[in-house]
Amino acid sequence: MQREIEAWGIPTVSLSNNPGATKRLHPPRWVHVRFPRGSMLGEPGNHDKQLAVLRDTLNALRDINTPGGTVALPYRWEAAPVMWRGKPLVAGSYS
Amino acid sequence: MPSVKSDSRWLAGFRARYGPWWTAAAPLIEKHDYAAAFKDYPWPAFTETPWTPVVKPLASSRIAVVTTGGLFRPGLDVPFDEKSGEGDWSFRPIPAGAPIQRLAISHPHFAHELAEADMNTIFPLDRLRELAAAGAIGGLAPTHYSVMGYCTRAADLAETTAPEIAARMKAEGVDAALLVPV
Repeated sequence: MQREIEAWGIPTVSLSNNPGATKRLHPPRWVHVRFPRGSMLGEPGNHDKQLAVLRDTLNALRDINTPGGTVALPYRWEAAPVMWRGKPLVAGSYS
Repeated sequence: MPSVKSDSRWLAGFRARYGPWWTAAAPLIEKHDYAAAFKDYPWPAFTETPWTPVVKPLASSRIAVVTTGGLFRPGLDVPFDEKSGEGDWSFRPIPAGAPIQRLAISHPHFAHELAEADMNTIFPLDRLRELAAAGAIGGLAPTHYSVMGYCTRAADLAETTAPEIAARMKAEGVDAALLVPV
């Protein structure tokens, strides 16, 4: 999807919590977020962090100047682990 | 239907390998054994990266969002197909003015409670509106897009939904797109 939109002449950036899977797709620009699947911009209701993630992501869109470029965002998950099929999603298994 | 503009050389090989893969994978997916089912999935092998330079300042750019969270407008949109083992490659356009907290989720493969508590975690239209009000971006596109991230039929997604969404963005003067895979 991202590849197609970019090919139509619209610059794109994506969020990823799974660098391995993301790199395989050769997206034009992406940012690495360390948040669990289901909450890619941070904790529900964490207005300031969501805004910071978005600002950083849009700055990455502006600043990345090589195809495939990426930026790792510094934020971490600051709430109880998310449960999925009876197990907690923990860093390293977020996607 | 608009034609594919990104590198499409992978499509023929993918389609050739998809049928045999699905024959073997379907019973495993039926048992929710996804690790075994996707072990031999014919992942597209891309060799190049598409690129469009950013030429417009963010402060005057019109931004569109694509989420893969399976969001839809109850009563207005048909939900995505949650039953099919092959997923769903259709899309739902969502107008910028839609109240996002009233959106519903049809996507069987992630924990919904976070997004249900705050849709901005996967579809941040409220936050983008705040950035627009602060002058950090030019504004939101009139239309944003939702797909269901679980879709094994990557070629159908790439040949129908992806160019259709791209063409609609082009027609609405979108300057940049943010993709939120879930």
